[in-house]
Amino acid sequence: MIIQKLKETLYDLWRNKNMGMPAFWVHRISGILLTIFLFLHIWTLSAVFRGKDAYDYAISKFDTQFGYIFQYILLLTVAFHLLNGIRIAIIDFSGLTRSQKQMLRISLFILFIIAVVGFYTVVL
Amino acid sequence: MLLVMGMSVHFFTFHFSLSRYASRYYDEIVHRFCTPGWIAFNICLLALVIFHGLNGIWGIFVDYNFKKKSGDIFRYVLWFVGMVLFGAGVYILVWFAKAKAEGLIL
Repeated sequence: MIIQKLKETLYDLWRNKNMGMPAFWVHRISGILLTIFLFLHIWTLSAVFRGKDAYDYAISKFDTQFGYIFQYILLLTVAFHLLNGIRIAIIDFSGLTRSQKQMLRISLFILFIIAVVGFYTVVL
Repeated sequence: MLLVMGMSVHFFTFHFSLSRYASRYYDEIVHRFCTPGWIAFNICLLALVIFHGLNGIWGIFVDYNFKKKSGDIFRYVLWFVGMVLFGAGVYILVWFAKAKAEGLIL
């Protein structure tokens, strides 16, 4: 049953060329990834139980080139999930279903700005 | 909307601002982010994020029409995981607040 449902889902994704469909899937996958990240975040911060030095050492791992790239990807994931979530909420509460494609384009444009600014702020 | 605002504040303070390098380290957190307001903000944000994340996972699970019994077990597991995660997060915040209080006494 689950495999069947997964097959149907992938088939829908392949057949439905509407840009809302990939947006739905990216939203879902980014949500799962962010929930997994939450565990990593709490685990990293829990280094404080071993003292100041252990905590600072754990945090310093995010102040490396790899750490900055990781945080940049995290920023993009959060930004997409957040902007698409706002779009879904607006569609749901305002009945603007007909403008959903346009709103997705606006969301992607804002995401692009965040990506550019974020690249200079987080990575460089 | 609360989550959007909370996450924006969190990101701009710790990951996206010019002082982000300093603001994540122990001394800076104990001196700047251990006020009652920041701790209350972080506890609320933690609760919202955990609920939103695990509720989303539950929504995906429901989408795939699992059996009722496995659904019940999965729901209990998610509640347990959420409680543990929230407890650990609050304990970390209390630990920082305690470190600040001890520092003030010394």
